[in-house]
Formats: sequence, C-alpha cells, structure tokens
Amino acid sequence: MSSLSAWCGTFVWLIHKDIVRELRARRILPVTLLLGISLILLLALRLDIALDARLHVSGGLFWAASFFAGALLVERSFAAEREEGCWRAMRLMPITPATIYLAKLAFHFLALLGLQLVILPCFALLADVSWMANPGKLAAVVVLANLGFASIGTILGGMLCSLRQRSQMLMILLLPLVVPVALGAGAATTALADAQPDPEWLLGLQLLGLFAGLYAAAGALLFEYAMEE
Amino acid sequence: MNGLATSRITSAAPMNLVTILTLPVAMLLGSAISLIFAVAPREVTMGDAQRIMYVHVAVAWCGLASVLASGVAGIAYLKGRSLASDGWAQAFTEIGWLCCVLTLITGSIWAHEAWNTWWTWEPRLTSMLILAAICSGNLLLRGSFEDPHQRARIGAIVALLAILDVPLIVLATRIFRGIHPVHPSMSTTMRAVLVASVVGFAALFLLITEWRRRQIMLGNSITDMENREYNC
Amino acid sequence: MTSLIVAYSVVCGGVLAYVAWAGMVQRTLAARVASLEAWRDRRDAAEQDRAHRAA
Repeated sequence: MSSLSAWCGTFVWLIHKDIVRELRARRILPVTLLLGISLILLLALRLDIALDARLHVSGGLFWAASFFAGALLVERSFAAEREEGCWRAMRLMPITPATIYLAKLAFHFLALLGLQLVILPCFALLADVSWMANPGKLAAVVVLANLGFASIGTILGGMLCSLRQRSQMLMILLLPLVVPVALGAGAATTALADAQPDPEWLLGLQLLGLFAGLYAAAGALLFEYAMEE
Repeated sequence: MNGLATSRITSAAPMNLVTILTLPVAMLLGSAISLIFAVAPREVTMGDAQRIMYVHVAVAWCGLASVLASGVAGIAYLKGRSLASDGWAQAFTEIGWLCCVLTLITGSIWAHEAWNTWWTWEPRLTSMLILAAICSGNLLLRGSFEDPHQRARIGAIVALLAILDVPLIVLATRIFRGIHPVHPSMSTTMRAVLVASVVGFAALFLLITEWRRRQIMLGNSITDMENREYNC
Repeated sequence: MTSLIVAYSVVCGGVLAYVAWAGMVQRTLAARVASLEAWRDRRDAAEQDRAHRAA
C-alpha cells in the first residue's frame, strides 16, 4: 500500500512538474492553440456545403486538425525537456521509465483536452455543426481519442527526444501510426451528429479503445528502451 | 595478418548458402508460376484477371510475415543487444516494405478489374497502406543513424509498433463491413495453386532476406574496421 | 489479360529493382574494402620505410 502511494506521489509530482513548467514558460500551449485555431479556420472556410455532406466530413476534419496540432504539442513538450537538461536528469532519477511514460502521457492528454476545449467550440461555431446531442458519448470519444494519440505521441516523442536532429522525424512516424485512432474518432464523432447515432458509432469507439489500450501498453513496455541514449 | 583479414571479407565464402539455394528457389517459384497459368482454372466472373489474386495474396502474406519477423528480431535485439538480430530486423523490414508496396499495387490492379475502381478507403486496404507508411518511416529513420546500436534500438521500437497494425489488417474484413473478400469460395485446385504460390514467393523473399542480412552484417564489419584503421 | 500482365510485371520488376539495388550496395562494399586494403598497404609500406631508415 505504501509503495502504491509512493508511486502515486511520484506520478502526480511528474505531472505537476510539467504543468507548472508550462504555466511559467508557456512554450507549448500558445503555439499549439494558434496552430489548432488556424487549421480549424482553414477547414471551416471550405465547409460551405450542404448540411448532410458537412456533417459527414466534419468529424474527420476536426480530429485531423486536432492531431496535427497535437503533434506540435508533443514535439515542443519533449524539446523543452531536452533543451533544459531535464530529460537527462529524469533518466538519472530513481523513477521507472514506465512511470515517466504514464506521467508524460497524462500531461499530453490534459494538454490536448485543453486545446480541444478551445478549438471544438470554434469549429462547431464556424462550421455550423453540433455534436452536443449526445454529450456523454462525445466525452467518451474525446477521452479515448486523446488517450490513443497521447500514448503513441509520447512513446515516439520520447524515442526521438534524445536525438536532437531527428525531431522532424516525429511527424513522419506519428501520422501513419495515429491513423487508426483518427479513423475511429472521425467515424464515431460523425455518427454523433444524429440524436440517435448509428451503431457505427460503437464500432468507431471500439477501434479507439483497442488502439488506445494497445498503444498505452506498448508505450509502458517500450519506454525504457526509448529513453536510452 | 591484416591482408588475411581483408581477403576473408572479400572472399566468396559468405555467398555460398545464398548461391546454393538460388537455383532450387528459382525452380520452386517457376513451378508456382506455371501452376498459376497452366493448372489454375479460369474464373467465371473475372476471367484471366482473377489470376492476379495468386500473386497478390502470396505477396501480402509474405509482407505481413516479414513485419512480424522484424518485430521478433527487434525483441531479440532489445534483449540481447546483438547486431546479428538487428541484421535480421532490418532485412525483414526492407522486405516487408517491398511486399506491402507490391500488395497495394497488385491489389489496386485487381480492384480495378473487380470493382471498377483503383482505390477505396476500405478497412483492409487502408490498414495495409498504414503499414506501408510505417515501414517507410522505419527505413527512413534507420537511414538517418550512423551508430549501429542506436539504429537498431530505434528500428526495433518502430518495428514493434508496426506489429500492432497486423491484426487490424488480418481481422479488418471480419470486423468491419467492406468490399474486400473475406473468404472467397475457391475450388480445391485453386486452393492448391494458391498454397504453391505462397510457398514459392515465401522461398524467394526468404532467400533475398538472407542475402540482404549478410550484406548488412558485412557492412557493419567493414564500418568497424574502417573506424579502427582510419582513426588509429 | 493486360491487367494480368501488368500485375505480374510489377511484381517481377519490383523484386528485380530491389535485387539490383542490393547488387549496387554489394559493389559499394567491395569498393570500401578495396579502399581499406589500399590504405593498409600504403601504411605498411610507410612503416617499413621508416624501420629501414631507422636501421
């Protein structure tokens, strides 16, 4: 019990460190928000189409914008760690790599959620779509999609973190691996535009849940090797 | 002593196994191709174009097997830190990439004949495209490292992540409703020819993988020697 | 029939292209070995020359 509480204390401390650093330096969220809003604006501008078609494509477009901005979020998060020597210090601390991974995952999850709290209403307003007919189901989709993206983003970001010239490779690797999550999120979100969503919604959610779980498990197991220099 | 070491590198000895197996594998593949064109019955709906299926399925299964094998080799490297395991991992990744690309192209040609479209965002095709993209990313990433152990470690992690896509490809037609055939009905002859095709292409790709693996190991040895000789 | 020929040609061409690329890699490795051997020969000759002069 004491080891579990010690682990929880370490886990919360790591997340707290990232949040405090971001609140002080503001290196991640402002830029990510700017990119997210620009993407949303760009996409919503072109959605001057019939309502049916708009509802059909808007889910996928929103998540594409979200994940592009999320890739920048992950890259800047690890860049900040690397540049200040924090990454090297964390590797020397008596914390298991899996704990560091889960804490970074939680931070990225929360940051993505913060980003989406701004860009989702913007998109809904500009594109004139609404998914609020099923708020509980939308919340489930958002949680699983962010978990899936944060899982794979954290493992890849950590892997490429020690290698400063390779941070540009993050996008090349991240996008194909995030496609199953984007597909599931897009399909589920599109279905939620109806008050009585299609059963396809559940299939999308299951795909999301599967990949979120797989990526999180793979990340926890592989992060130890990703952290090496 | 030094001259002896280099002449060992340039000798033909490492090619022996590959050279010996080349003819049997060529005969096996030749037999498979002959069976496809001479023995396999002409399909009623698609005619001769249906014979594309024999090479498409064979290459697809070889691709998936190669990706799985590269993941297993990656695990072996992460556990044992032996560059011999990484040699297998890189060779299988390259063959896996080649097979994925060939699967997409042959599948596209078959799709045009069967469904009158070159591409559709159907689950199995989409997940195969994702796998090809991941393999491309893995090879690009490997190419940007000079340190063989860094290259091996990163390659192993990406190969293990690529494996997660394989069950999606295999189960896609069962879980999602798509137009890709799930279990097309085939006569006994067709099934036998398909098995022969898979065996023939698997033998070919295994041979090429072994050749490429030896090359990778040779390259590592030469790099080691260059670092020792030129830096001393 | 055309599509059948194209499909098999693509597979054949793809495999041959990969084999050709691996052949190029083999030639590059052989060139590196030849370069290494030549460097060693020059180094050994220089050492022998130095030893001869010292004697």
